Order: sequence, then C-alpha cells, then structure tokens
Amino acid sequence: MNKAIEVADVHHKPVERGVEEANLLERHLAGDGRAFEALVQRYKARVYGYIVRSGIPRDEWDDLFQEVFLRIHAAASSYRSERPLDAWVFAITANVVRSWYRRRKVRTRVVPDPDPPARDTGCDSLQILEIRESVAWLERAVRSLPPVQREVVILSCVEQLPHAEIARALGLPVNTVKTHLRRGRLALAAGRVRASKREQREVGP
Amino acid sequence: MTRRCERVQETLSEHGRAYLARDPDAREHVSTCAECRAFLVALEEVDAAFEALPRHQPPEEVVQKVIEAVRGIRVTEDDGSRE
Repeated sequence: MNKAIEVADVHHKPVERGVEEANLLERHLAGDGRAFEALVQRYKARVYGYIVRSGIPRDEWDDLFQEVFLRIHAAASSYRSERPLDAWVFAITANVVRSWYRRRKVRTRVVPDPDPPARDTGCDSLQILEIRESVAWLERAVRSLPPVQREVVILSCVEQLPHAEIARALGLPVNTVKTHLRRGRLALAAGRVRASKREQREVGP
Repeated sequence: MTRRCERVQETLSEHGRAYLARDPDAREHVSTCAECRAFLVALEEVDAAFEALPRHQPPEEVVQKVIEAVRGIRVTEDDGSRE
C-alpha cells in the first residue's frame, strides 16, 4: 500500500489568495450562483477546524458552521476587497464562536474528543504512533487554553494569519496579539514538558 | 526555575530557536540548563505537531445544507426586490 500522504488533503497551510478568491464575494453579490458554493468549498475545512478546536461540544459544530456561512452571506456587502478574505472570514467565525460562549455563559470548556485521525506519513509504525499521540495531545491542549490565547494560537499557528490581520479579526491591538501568542505557546510547551515527564515516569527507568 | 529561565523561555516562545542564534548568553544558558533545554525540545515538538494537524472536514450534507439555504435566501431576496 502506498503510504505517501496526499499533501493537498491534509496540509494546513492557508489557501493562496488571488484575485479570483477576493472576487468570490463580489461575484456572489452580483448574482453568480456558483461563487458562494466555491467560497464554502474553499473555507469549509478551515472554518470547521476553527470551531472544532474552540472547545465547543460536538453536537454544536454543524449548526455553528452553518451560522458562519449564513453570516458571511448576510455581511457580504460590507466586505472590502483590499482586506484579505481569509482574515475577514475568520473574524466572522471567531465572532460566531464568541457569541456561542456568551449565550452559554461558558468561558472555557474542554471537550475530550475528537482525537484526530492518524496522519500517514510513510514512516515506521513507532513514528506514526508518536505523531498521532503528539497531534492528539496538541488538539486537547489547544482546546484547554484560555479563550483569547486559543483564538490567537489557532489563527497564528494553524491558520498562519499575520499578526496584524489577527488583531483586526479579533479587535485587539497587535501587541496584545503578540502577548497572547507568546503566552499561549509558552503554555503549550510547558504542558508538553509536563506530559513528557509523566510519560517517562509511566515507562520507568 | 530562575528568573533567567523565565525570560529565556518567554523569548523562545516568541522567536523559537532563532533567538539563540542572535543571543550568545541565552545560547550558553540553554546549553547548561536542563529545564530550558527540555522546554526548547517541547516547543519544537509543539511546532512539529502543528505542522501535522489534520483537517477537520464538515459532513458533506451540512455543507450542502448551507449552500442550499443561501440559495433559498437569495431567491426570496430577488422575489422581494421585484415587488
């Protein structure tokens, strides 16, 4: 069996922006029936991933996903093409998630699932196991971060948005974004150190 | 953990290993401090795990549902504008 991964399918880098992408909303507003579908297809995994990683219970994910795209449709006329579309989409996504937390009056909620599927990297089984465990640990750790740190970490470390766009999307000063990012990464690395020590104790000398 | 460790780990969190390349004192500290070395290894494991994160795909029926919903809203809006 070919263990080569389908990079395009699992890779998490943001989709390259172009004139075509920036025009999707304009085409949608102009009545092009296929433009909105193209926009949904382009952003569906990134938006869904943001919701999943936000610590929201599984049974809410699908409704919030739909709410994001309904809001995108409703706000389409306010989009200005000089602004990166992905940052605008994530501003709406982050607002939908924040609204959910406000409605539920839940500040943080850690959901144990889902542990992500293993990513087949073509390496041996021990390495696959290590990668799987490390990814599963990270997914849980990100969901456990304080809300603002989690927002900034997802947008920076997963979605790779520039600091200025994260600041704009979340309504924060750029320096505040940098501070939350630093603290978030510090917390994740410190958590990883603790997890490694636990694993070593369990394995024994 | 000393204050020095705190400062080094905070700066590593912001700039990664590149910080050590431009600060010989920090490099020297990390080479002699087991705690900070373990922190750097952990930070790089976290970054590697970020690179390996899978996509979370929504169910296809949910994707189609929202596309159809917006199509329906648009038809209603178009009807309204003709009235």
